[in-house]
Amino acid sequence: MFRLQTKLWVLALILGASTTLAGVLLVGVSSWFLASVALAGLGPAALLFNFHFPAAAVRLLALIRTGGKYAERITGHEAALQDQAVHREQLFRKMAASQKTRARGWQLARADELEAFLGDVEADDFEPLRFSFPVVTTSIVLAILFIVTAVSLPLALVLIVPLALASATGSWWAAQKAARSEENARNQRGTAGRDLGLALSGLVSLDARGDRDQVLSSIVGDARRAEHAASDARQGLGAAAAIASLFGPLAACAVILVAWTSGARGEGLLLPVFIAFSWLAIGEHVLPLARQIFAHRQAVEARGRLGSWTQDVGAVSSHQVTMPDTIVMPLTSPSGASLGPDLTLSLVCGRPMALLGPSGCGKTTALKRIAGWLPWQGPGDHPLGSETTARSMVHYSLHDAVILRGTVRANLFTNKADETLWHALKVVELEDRVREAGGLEAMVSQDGWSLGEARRLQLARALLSDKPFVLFDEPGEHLGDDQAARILKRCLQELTDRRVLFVTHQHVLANLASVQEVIG
Amino acid sequence: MGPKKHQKDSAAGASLRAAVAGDIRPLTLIQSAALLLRLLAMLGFAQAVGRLVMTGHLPLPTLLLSGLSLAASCLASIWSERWVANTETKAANVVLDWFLRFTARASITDVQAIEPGDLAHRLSRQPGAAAGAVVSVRLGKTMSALGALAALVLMAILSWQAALILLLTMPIMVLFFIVIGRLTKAKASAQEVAIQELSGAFAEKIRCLPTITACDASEDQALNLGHVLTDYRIRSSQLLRVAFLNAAVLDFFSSLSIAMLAIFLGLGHLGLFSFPGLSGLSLSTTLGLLILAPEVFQPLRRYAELYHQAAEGEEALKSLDPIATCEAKVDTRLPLGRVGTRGVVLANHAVVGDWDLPSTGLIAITGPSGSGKTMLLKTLAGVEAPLAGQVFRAERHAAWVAVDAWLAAPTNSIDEAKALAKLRLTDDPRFRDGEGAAHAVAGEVSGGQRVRFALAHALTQNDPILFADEPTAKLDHRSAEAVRAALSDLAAERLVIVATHDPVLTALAVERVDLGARSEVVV
Repeated sequence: MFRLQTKLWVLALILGASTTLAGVLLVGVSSWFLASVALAGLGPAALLFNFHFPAAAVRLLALIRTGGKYAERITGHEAALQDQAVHREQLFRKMAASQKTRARGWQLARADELEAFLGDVEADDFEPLRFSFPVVTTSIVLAILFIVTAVSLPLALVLIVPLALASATGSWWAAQKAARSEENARNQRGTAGRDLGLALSGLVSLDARGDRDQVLSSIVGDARRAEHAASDARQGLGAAAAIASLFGPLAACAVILVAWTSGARGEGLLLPVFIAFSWLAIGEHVLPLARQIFAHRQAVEARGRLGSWTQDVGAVSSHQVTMPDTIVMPLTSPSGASLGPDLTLSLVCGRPMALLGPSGCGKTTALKRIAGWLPWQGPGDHPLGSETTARSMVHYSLHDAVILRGTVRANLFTNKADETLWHALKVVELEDRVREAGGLEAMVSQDGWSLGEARRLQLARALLSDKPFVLFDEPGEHLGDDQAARILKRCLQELTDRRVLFVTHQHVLANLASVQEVIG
Repeated sequence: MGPKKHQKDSAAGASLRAAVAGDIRPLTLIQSAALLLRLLAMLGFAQAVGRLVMTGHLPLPTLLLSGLSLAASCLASIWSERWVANTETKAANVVLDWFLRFTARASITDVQAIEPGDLAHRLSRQPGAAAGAVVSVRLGKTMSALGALAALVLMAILSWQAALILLLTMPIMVLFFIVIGRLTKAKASAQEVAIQELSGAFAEKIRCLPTITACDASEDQALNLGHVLTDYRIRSSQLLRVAFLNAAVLDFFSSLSIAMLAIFLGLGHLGLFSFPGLSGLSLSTTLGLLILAPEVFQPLRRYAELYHQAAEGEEALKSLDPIATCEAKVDTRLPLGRVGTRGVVLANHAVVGDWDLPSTGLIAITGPSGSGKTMLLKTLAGVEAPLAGQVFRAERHAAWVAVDAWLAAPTNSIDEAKALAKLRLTDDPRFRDGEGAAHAVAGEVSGGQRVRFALAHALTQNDPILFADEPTAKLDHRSAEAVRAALSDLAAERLVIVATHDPVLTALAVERVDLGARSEVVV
C-alpha cells in the first residue's frame, strides 16, 4: 500500500491520524466543556470549576490540528514525490528493456496516447496520497471512536455500526459504478482520438468525397458519449458524497437518543455529548470516501495498462559469436507471414549493402530481426548469437527520427570528445545549424527543428556509435534527393571499418551501395 | 486567485457562459437551499442537545425537524449534483459542436495547422475542462461566498457579537493570504520554468524511448531521469512548503475560532466573564455557535481547492477561441452537371483558364513538382477555392485516391475481395482476410498500399468521378501496372482525373493538361 518510502509514510500516517483525531477532539472537548460549564453555572459549583485544564486542552488541540495538518501535508507530499521519483525511474528501466519498445510503431510518440499513458502513471504514483493515506488515517480515528463508544455507550453501536456499514457499502458501490463509467469514457475518448487522427490525415480525401461532415460527426459523436459517461461518473461520486454526509449527524443523533432512552440526565449526559459531537466532526472525513475508493480503482486499472508496457523482457544471453560475412533470412511480415523468397545479405566491411523496395515490402521487419528488435525467424539460431547479442553488436538507426528535449550533446547519446561530435555534425550537414543554435550545449526540441534536421541528427548518432554493424532504415527520409545522396555517401565513407546495411525506397540512395538487392 | 479581468475577453468563454446562464441561477438557489437546510439541521441538533442537558427533556419535534431538514438537504444536494452534471454535459456538447464545425467545415489549411495528435488530445480534454470552468468552478466560487455569508448570518441571529468577532478576523486572514500569496508567487516564478522543464522530462524520455534504446542510452537516461526527478522533488517540496501555508492559515483561523468561542462562551456560562452577546446565553445557543464557527471558514477552503480546476478550465477556454470562432469553408463551385472551369487561376497563380471535361474517360494532369497538379485536383474537387474564376461541378460524391486517402471500414464483400486481388494487395498475406483490411483502416499500411486500398474501395462504389493524386508513385512496377489497368478500366464508365508524373499512365489518357506549360490544354 505504501510501497517505497515506508518510514516517511509511517511518519505521515502518525501525523495524519493525530491531526484528524485532534480536529475531532477539538469539537468533542469544546462541546463537553460548554455543557459542563453550563451545568456548573447553574449552581454554586461555578466558582469551584477548574476551567483552566479544559481551556488549555482546547487551545492545545487547536494548535495540533493546525500545525499537524501542515506537517502532514508536507510529509505526505514529500513521501509521494519520493515514491514518484523511484517509481518512474523503475518504470523507465522496465520499459526500456521490454520487447514492446522494440516492436512495430511507437504509440507513445503520439500526443494523445502519451497523455493517456502519463495519466495512468500519475494515477499509480499518487494512489497512496489519494486513497491509502486518507483512508487509513480516517479509519484509525474511526476505530478509536468506535472503541470509546463501545466502552461508554455500547448500545449506540447498534445504530452506528449499520450506519457505518451502509455508508461504506454505498461509497464502494458508487465508486465501482463511477469507475465503470470512467472506463467507458476512456475507451470512447481513445476511439475518438484515434479515429480523429486518421480522419485528419485523410482530410483532403474526405473533403473531396463529400464525406467529411459525416465521418467527423460520427467521431464527435463518440466524444459526446465519452462526455456523457464521464458526467455519469462525476454525478455518482457527488451523490455518494451527499449520502455519506448523513453519516456524522445521524451517528451523533444515535448517541444522544441512546443516552436519553437509557436514562442519562444532567452530568450523566456530558460523556454522551462529547461522543456525539466527536461523531459529528468525523463525518466530514467520511464524505470523500467514494472519491478515494474511485482513485484506488483508477490506480488498479492504470497499473493493469502500464503492465502491458513492461512485459516480455526478453531473456538475456551473453553467448558471443564472430560476425558472419553473410546472413540468409526469410523475408517476412512482423507477424511472421512470408513475403517473398529468402534474402541473402552480404556483410563485409567497406562494402555497404542496400535493400531497395517500396514501403510495406518487409524491409524494416528484416532490419529489426537482424538488430534483435524482433524475434529471429528462420533456420537455426540468430546469426549473431541471439537477439540480446545482436542488440549489443548492431546500431539500428530507426525510421522515426526524434529529438529529445535537451542539449545537442544529450541528443547525440555519447560521451566522446567535442571534435568527434563536431565532425559527425559536419558530415550530416548540421554543423552550421548547431553553431547557430548555440553549440553543443544549446537546448533543442522536436518543435524547433524540422523533420529533415531530425533525420540528420539521427544519422550523426549512427556515426558516433562504436558498434561493428550499422543498420539504416530509410536514411534519406524527409531529405531532398540531392542532400540525402550527398550525406549518405559521406556517412558510408566514414563507416568503411564497419558492416553497413540500409533499406530505402529511393534508387538514388541504393545506387551508393556496393551491393544492391531489390525486393517487393 | 480572484477572477481575472482578461478572462472576460475569451470569446469561447463568453459564449459558453451564455449557454449555461439559464441553469446557473436555479442551481445557485438549490445549492443555497441545501446548504441552509444542513446548517439548520445542525442548529436543531445543538438546540435539542442543549435542552436535553439543561432540562433533562429531549425536544423530539426539534430533533425530528432537524432530521427532516438534513434529509431534505441531502436530496437537494443529489438533485443539484445531477443538474450540475447535466449542465456540464450540455456545455461540453457546445465545445464539441465547435470541434465538429472546425474539423468538418473549416478550411483544410486551418485544420492542418494544428498537429493531429494535439487536436485529438484537445478533443478528449478540453470539453470537460471548459465545461467545468463555466459550471462547477463558477458555482463553487459563488457558493463559497454564500456559504461563509450564510454561516455568519445564522451566527448573527444567535449572537451578533460572536459573528462580529469572526467577521473581524477576516481582514487579518486576508492579510495573511496576501502575504503568503506574494511569497508563493515569488517562489513559484523563480522555480516555475525549472519545475515545468523537469516535470516534462519523464514524458519526453518515454516519447523518445525507442531512439534511446537504439542508441544504447537507456542506462544513462535512467540515471539522468533519477537525478531530474530528485531535483524536481526538491524544488516541488520547497514550493509546497510555502503554498501549503495558505491552507494552514485557514486551518489556523478555523481552529482558533472554535477554541476562542468555546473558551469565551464557557467563561460566560460560568459567569466569570461578562460580555454582551457572549455571556448569559443558553447552552443550545452556545453549542449552535460552536457548530457554525468552522462553517464560516470551510467554504473558503473549498474556494482554494478550486484553484487548479479553474486554471485548467480558463486555459482550455482561451485556447478554444480559434476553434470556437472559425469560419466555415464555402464550396464556391456551381452545380452545372458537368466538371469544368472558366477563367480559373490556382492559388499558386498557375492559369488553368477555360476547360470542359467529358463525363467519362481518363484525364491526366501533368507538370513538374510544384506546378500545382494536386492543387488543380483539389480545386476541381472543391477542397480548395481558386484564386480567380469559376469551377463547375457535376455530382457531390467523388472518389479520392492518394497516399493520404482516408479508408472506410472493410465490408468483406465479394466485390471488395475481387478488387483487392485485382490491385495485388492480396500479395501481402496480411490482407488476405477482412481482418487485414482492418489494419489498413487503422493506418498500419504504407503509402503505396493505402493508394491501392482507396482505389479498391472506389472500384466497389459507383461514384461517377474519381480523383487520383500520384496513384503509381510509391509502387513497384507490377503493382503500378495493376493500378494503371484498373484506372483505365474505370475510365470507360466514369470520369477519372489523375495528377501524375507517370508517362505510361499519361499515355493512357484521352486528354492531358500540362501545368508546366501553364494554360495550354493539349488534347
